[in-house]
Amino acid sequence: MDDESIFRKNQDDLIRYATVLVGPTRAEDVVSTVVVLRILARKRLQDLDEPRAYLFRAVLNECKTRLSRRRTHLSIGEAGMVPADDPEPDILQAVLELPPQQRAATYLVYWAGMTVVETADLMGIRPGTVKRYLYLARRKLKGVLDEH
Amino acid sequence: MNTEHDDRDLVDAFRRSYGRLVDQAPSAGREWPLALTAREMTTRPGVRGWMVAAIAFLLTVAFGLGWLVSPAETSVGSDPFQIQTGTTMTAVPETSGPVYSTPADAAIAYAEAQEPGIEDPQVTRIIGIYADQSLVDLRVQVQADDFCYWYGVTGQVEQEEIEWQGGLAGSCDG
Repeated sequence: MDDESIFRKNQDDLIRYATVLVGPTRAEDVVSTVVVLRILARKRLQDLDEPRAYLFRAVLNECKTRLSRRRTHLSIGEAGMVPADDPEPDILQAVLELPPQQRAATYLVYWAGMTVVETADLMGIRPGTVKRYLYLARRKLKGVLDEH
Repeated sequence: MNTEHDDRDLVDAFRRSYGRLVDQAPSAGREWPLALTAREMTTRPGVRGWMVAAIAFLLTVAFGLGWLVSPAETSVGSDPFQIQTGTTMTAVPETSGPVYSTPADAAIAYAEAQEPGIEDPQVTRIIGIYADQSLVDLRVQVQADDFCYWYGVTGQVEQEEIEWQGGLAGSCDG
């Protein structure tokens, strides 16, 4: 499979992943930056053993870089994040305040339906670390739900 | 409430939240020139992209007018990678001025500087991309109500990140 086919096959998933991590207005920027940097490095996706995993890791790294520059959490008040009349704004805000790795892990397991092992492979970390991220994220959200 | 029930509620809460976030994701399936540029750069080097870059370089040297580029023009539903010989983009990379972390930020800041009073400008399309060495050039369409311009923005790769600056503008229908 050539680079274009790899990219086209994964682009929808990557944009949704980036949307969860940095919001919809920056998602395409993130994904395009990842691919442009790869082009500039004169490296082909097709030469990688696991190009999909590479792209997901690169998107997460790019998102972490951008979020660390801001030194603040995402908020639902940001343009295009979610409708102003969201029915559970405090829960959504709590999710957005999770560290990017925890958000990535919970998104991949709870939303994308991947197993812990698959998520670990995609994120390039150990399954135990994924479990820890899930535990920490659930604990954070539980505090919010308990206040409901 | 037992732990299992707790966990199920939590997982449902995550799913609801991510469902609403994913609903906001940019629409999928549209033509995206970046992939096409990637194809040009990685599987067919020396054809269109590099030819255009070489012509731009020669024109720069010959005329000293900055950077004159004929961009790849793409549009949804038509030939996805067609060089429009009738249009030219004069993108003059700025050597000073604000640096932005995304091309959209650079284009919007430039639009606001060019068009004071413009309200809520949005990047609606990324029209063309060129990448060469540590420079990336994008042509970005910015739209707000009855305002529609494209901007050439230039990115300089700095330590695995791209810093973007505004460039020159043109009318969408020009």
